Amino acid sequence: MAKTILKIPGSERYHSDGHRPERNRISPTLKIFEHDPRLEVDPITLEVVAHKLWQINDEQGQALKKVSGSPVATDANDFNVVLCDELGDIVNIGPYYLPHAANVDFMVKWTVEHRSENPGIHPGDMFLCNDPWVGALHPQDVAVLSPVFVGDELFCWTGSTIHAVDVGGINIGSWCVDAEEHFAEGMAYPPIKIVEAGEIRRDVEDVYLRRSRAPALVGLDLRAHIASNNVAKERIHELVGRYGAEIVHAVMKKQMDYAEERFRARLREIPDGTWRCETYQEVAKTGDRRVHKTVLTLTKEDDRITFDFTGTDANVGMINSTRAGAVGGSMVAILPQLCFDIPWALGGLHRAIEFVTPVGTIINAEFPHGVSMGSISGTWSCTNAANVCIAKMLSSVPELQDRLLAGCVGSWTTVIASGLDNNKQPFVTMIMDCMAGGWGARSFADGVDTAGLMAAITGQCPNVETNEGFYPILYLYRRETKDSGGAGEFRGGMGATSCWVPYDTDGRPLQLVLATFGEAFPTALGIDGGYPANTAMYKMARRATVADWFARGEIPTDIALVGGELEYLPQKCETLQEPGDVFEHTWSGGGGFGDPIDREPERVAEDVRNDAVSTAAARDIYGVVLDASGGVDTDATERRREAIRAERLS
Amino acid sequence: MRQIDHHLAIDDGVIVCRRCGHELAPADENFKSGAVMKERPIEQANPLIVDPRTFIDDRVVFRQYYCPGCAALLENEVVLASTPPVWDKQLAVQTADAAARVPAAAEGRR
Repeated sequence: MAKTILKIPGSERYHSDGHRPERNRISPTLKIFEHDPRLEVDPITLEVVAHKLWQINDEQGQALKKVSGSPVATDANDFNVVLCDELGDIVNIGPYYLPHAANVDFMVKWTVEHRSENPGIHPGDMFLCNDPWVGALHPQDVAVLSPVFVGDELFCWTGSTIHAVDVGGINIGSWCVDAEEHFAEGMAYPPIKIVEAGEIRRDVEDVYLRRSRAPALVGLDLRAHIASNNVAKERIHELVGRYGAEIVHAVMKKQMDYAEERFRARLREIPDGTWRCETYQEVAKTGDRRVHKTVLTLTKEDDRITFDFTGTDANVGMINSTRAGAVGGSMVAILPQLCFDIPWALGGLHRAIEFVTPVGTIINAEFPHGVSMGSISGTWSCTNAANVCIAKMLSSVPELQDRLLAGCVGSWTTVIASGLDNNKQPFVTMIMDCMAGGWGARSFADGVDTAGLMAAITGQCPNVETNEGFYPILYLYRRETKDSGGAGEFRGGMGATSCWVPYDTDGRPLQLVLATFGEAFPTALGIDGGYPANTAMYKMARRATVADWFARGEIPTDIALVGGELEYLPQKCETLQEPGDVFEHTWSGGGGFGDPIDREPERVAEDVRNDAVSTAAARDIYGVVLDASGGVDTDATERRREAIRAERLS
Repeated sequence: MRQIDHHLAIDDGVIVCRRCGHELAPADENFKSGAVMKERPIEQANPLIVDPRTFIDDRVVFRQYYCPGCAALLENEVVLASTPPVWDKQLAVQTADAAARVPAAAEGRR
């Protein structure tokens, strides 16, 4: 029987909906900069200053990477940086993990409204926030927000986000697979003043780090946040010194106006209509065996677009996101498919978008339902649904159909590992290999193999050697996964598989926490007849014979070869990997586009030669029969495809 | 003719197959009502899928929709078995601008 989770009276105070705060809810003691609305900016100055803001945003990201010691940030780019206007509308967003930063506006707006009176917002202050109901994706995604003052007036904000490797809770890495309410998770901090007048508040930092299993690393991340914001703040002051506050402020607004104008024009190119998708996550926490649905109805009318998630299932377990996640997850699909040539000034784009996110669902959970997987569960399901709906919408526009992407990387296969590292010191980390997901097929070409994430367009898959250097593991293999790309006239990009054993752990096991969905059925969907991609998969071969292989000077190339007892591990679990156990995880490719039997037979044969498609899939799904040399048997292929057509209509 | 997707278009108030011209449904209805549907085990959606009962109790199926005229695979669904056909593509029905939106090159691909 499901546990009853009661709503906490007063918790509404911490709900941010992302809307611009009313001036009458901001303390009059906080002076806010406004430029003269009659100010004209010449086109050259506008372009120069706009590009300088992009450059500052880029330098923010570089500074963060140079200071953070967490491979999650430095080697996988699971962070992001933003510049916002004085009340939080986003002017610039970095190209790193997008949904992190797409919600910083939620947090800034809440901070302006709730912190301007007490403790006040002053020059030199910074606020830390990881509260999903205020704007984080889940408690591990920590943001630091920095107001930028010109004189005594609030001019704009800079912000940074990093996935912290552990912020507390009952399971390592703060992926609380055993929890169904937030009180068992890493604590959500609404915006708290972590830096005051340029100095770290040690008492506040202690409260924050005391909860973590990796306080040194998370503390270093905090300094990366601060460095990143300091760099951005300094550069903005230099820009203001050169061009004047009025000009810089006006350019920020004009960037958002321009993005809005271009986005509305893009929407007018698309016929009005409605597109729908029902997508699923399975297993809401350890022990659950049910399927939970996300429903999206996308409606495009003239120059507006609405993402309506009515019909989505009720909040349950630890797989929920908040409204911030639903909005951020949808933006992930909007930006590359609809705004590929439009500045990602989200403050402008949002004016043409409406999000309907029913409260009490897996995409907008009520406090205190579990949200520790929010960034890659509720949020990701919104991305999957929005990805497919937008792709189908673009398929209706001859001039834009080349921009669609079938479903990309249907889920994130979380692997949290903990134990003693190569220096015999305790460690906890997230293995970031599944950054190399496969992208969906396009209407004119295959999807890109092991391309990355739609959510993190510059996400990186760390080197095997980097992971082996940091952690006591030895890879047996990491490779692209045959048949993981969804079949179609154009094939989805391949995902990949990693396999490793504990190494040099002095007989101690590694502790693993696993959290994904899309293991029972695929979640990167094809479109227009394209097949879905593969499923995610966790396997463990217990008490395997890998030591014997090493003794012979050999490395096994498949988990099926290592003996022992093979287990399929469930979507949410915590387990031990003993020194003799072999662990393999497989992540998602992309969905296909179009009917597979319309694919050119020679391309299928090439896929088979390249280990992208199996001979069986070539025959059964693509209807392509190969001869003994691997070439296309043309007559047999034609007969096979006719047989497929006949079966379809039988 | 007005393009709905890679396979379908609206022609004179009717959803038709762009390859063979077969009429599937009125423009204000789900094209799936006029398609041939096969509901298959989810394992047929991708060669790497294992028996879903290893992980879940609910039944998820793989549905395929074909053109009755030429057997083209129009669309797939991965859905709970209890879910009715999803009306996934619904252009606002307009008659005034039903001018040809499908370029000749796109039609000629078939």
